[in-house]
Amino acid sequence: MTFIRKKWNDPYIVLISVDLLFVVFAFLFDTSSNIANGMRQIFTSRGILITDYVDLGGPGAALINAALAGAMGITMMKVSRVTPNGAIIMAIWLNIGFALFGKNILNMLPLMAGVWLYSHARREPFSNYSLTALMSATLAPIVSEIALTDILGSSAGSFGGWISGAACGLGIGFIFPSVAAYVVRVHGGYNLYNMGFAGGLISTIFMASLNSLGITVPTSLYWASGHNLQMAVFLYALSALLLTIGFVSCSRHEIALNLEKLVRHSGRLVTDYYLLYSNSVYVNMALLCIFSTTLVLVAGGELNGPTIGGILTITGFGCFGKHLRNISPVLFGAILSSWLGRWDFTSPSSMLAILFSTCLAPISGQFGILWGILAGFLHVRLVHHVSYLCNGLNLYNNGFAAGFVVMFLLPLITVFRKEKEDEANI
Amino acid sequence: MRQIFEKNMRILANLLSFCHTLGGKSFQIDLDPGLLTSHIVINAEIPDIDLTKLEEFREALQYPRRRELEQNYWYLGGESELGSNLTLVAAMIDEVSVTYAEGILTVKVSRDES
Repeated sequence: MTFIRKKWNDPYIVLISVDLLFVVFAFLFDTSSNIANGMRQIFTSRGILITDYVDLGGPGAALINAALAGAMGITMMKVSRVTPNGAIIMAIWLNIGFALFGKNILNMLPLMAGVWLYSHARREPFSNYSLTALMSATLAPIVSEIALTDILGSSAGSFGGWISGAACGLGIGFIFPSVAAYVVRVHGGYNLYNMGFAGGLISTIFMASLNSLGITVPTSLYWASGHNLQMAVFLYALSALLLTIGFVSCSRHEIALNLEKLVRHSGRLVTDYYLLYSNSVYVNMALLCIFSTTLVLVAGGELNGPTIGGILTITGFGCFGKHLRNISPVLFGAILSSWLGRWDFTSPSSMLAILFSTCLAPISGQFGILWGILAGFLHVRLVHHVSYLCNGLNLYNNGFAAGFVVMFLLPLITVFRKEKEDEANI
Repeated sequence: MRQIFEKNMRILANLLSFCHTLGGKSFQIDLDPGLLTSHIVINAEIPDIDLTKLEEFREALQYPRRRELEQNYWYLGGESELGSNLTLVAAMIDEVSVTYAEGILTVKVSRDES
């Protein structure tokens, strides 16, 4: 038992186990030849929002692609000798989730290499920028868009196209760390998808430049349906794995005590639950996974690449800012906004806006339920409106919209809310 | 050097903000930013301190230095009007000592700047 506990104390081992679960389910869902064909399809297709890899390459290939993205992240962290923390665990979960709709190792790599170049230019160890490197892949669709279409003149999918895409990715990766570090002050840590806001700014400028040259990027909509049963089994199995790891490595008393403390946190950046509560966070992550999966099913939505990506993002942030108490008001506000709006509740954009609205969880955690509901309500309105700015090139588009929500709400909150002691912010 | 000074200022702002919520009346500050190591010492006069909060404060600062978090989020330090951010302070410092005696809270932190 001591040996098992020691093993599970390495978060990379846990992440590898999660990755293996993806591989096991991929081969349960599909044959190896289907998976190989699906992977080819994924590597040679554009990845802009919304490109559901479950629809494009099949569920098996999508899960393998996610596992590959996860393995790449884990390898990069191990090679860079980064000591794991909540942010790193979250970022790897995020990459796994978004590799179900838009990311793959080919379009992620140039951006990460760009961040490496930046760290080299600054004469600082790459490990300092490891988190930024993982998150820079929010702009991965730009790489595949240039490589696999003729928007910059090279023929689609040609060697020249890939060189242009990789060069563009390197350039964007090089500027990404400074933009990402700066924009955090705009939202004061109340938007958990900070990199989405940075990616939104960069992709908006990129799109504006293309538009000025008369170049347009066509939209994309791949949205799988009919996979609810198999994907629900997969997600509940994933939750069971996390629960098992949590309960094997911590005592019940310890977990109860830690969860009680954890839900008292506002979740505002930087609240690293893993550093604070160690392996108890896996129980929090499992609860978030079960809750969000059930929410999609009860709402009548589809469990496919993008929605599972949303669920995995919520789960990943279970060690870096989210818990049931701070996401619930925001989700309620987002659902209410969709219901009262003109959008179909289960439409792709609404479903994603609802799931990703949880990036505003720190608002409800810090300022209370009503502000949380209002944040979620506004988020859904805004995300529909600002999405055209990035034209689907920024995968964390909801983080971009959430940045505006926070910029609008924070001044109002500070004016209308009475000063409270910040005990939840320790 | 400018960035070193700014980072130290943000750590200081966060610590002062929290000392204020602990009931701090007056503060004495010693800030010594250096190219290799920086030191900050705060002496806060707090006649009646909440010992539970003091313990939480001490615990929150015990977490290890995390340079990748610092790289991304150090700008968040110093947003004191919206509450302190002690996890971030912990991620940005190497050593800390918190003592309370005769109504004076003394916080000493140091960070490796290399």
